[in-house]
Amino acid sequence: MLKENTEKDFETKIRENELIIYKICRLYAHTAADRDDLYQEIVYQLWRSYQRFRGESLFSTWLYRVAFNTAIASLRKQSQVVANIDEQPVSSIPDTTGSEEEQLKELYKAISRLNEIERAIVMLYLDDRSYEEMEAIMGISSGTLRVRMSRIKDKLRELTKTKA
Amino acid sequence: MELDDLKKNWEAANKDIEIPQRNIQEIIRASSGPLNQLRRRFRKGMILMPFIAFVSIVELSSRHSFMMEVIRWYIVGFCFLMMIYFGVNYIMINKLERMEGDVKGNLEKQVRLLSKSYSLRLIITRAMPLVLFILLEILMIVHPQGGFTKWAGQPLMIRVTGYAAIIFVLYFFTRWATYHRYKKHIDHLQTLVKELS
Repeated sequence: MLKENTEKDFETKIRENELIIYKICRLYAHTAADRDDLYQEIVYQLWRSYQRFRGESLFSTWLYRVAFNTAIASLRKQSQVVANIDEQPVSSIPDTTGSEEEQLKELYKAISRLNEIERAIVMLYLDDRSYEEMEAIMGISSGTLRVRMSRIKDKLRELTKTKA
Repeated sequence: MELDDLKKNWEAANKDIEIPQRNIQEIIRASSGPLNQLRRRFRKGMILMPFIAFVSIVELSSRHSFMMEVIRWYIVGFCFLMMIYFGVNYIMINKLERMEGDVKGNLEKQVRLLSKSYSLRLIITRAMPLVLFILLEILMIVHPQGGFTKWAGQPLMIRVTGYAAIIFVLYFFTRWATYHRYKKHIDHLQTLVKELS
């Protein structure tokens, strides 16, 4: 009975935060099959860790940690596939002109060229997480994160400029 | 377009995403994740190795040829080493599965544990032929007429040189083979750890 309740509680929380998991899968896995595998792996790892979760951090902080750790650990098993830009959520951006869409595609392409750590930082930044929460997730000081963020922006600028 | 422009639209961009519906209960009960599969494989290995060693001792003890003696003791040595390997990896998998730490700490842990497993694998792979050669030499002394008489008739210096040549080739081969399979990945993780420092 207790286990059933825990499972239901876990499922509810996962449903509430499903978008975070899905975005991480899209960021680290390039094919639909890899994304599906990664999703299952993240949910399974979350379940294993959930039994030890004591609420010492925000649920979202804990979820990001487990999900990023699982995604980075699972990269070895994935085939090295070049990111399929058409599968990125470009079409869901409202009010974009054709040229903006192209620029957006280039930006997604540039993000997919970043390494695993940089991609994680970018996602946390886009998700509007505070630097304090990012520090708790990544394990590096907020000062270092600000510096890294600035470097990543420069790198993305450079990558999109090169392509243009 | 820059990252800050994307950030402004990020929430709107993700609002309409259709997330494929998956059965969460099924996923958590399936327990077929790769780490779990590995754990099962290592557990099976730990149980199977002593069993194989026992069966080979019983099965081959009735055949008193020199070759059977060599094979028998080699299998016992091999099973013993593999049992250690599976045992260490089983413990490692349990530690690796704790994913709730921060990304930096988790990466450092992964590098430490995988490096340990990699070193152990190298040691065992390289120890195998060494064990075989030592065993062969001992058995050639114990059973001088048992077999390998031509090889046993060679001066010790020639035999040692022969063994050393094989070990030398295997040293580089194992280094090359394990680099592509394991070390490359560990090096990559190490690079990521450095990035976080």
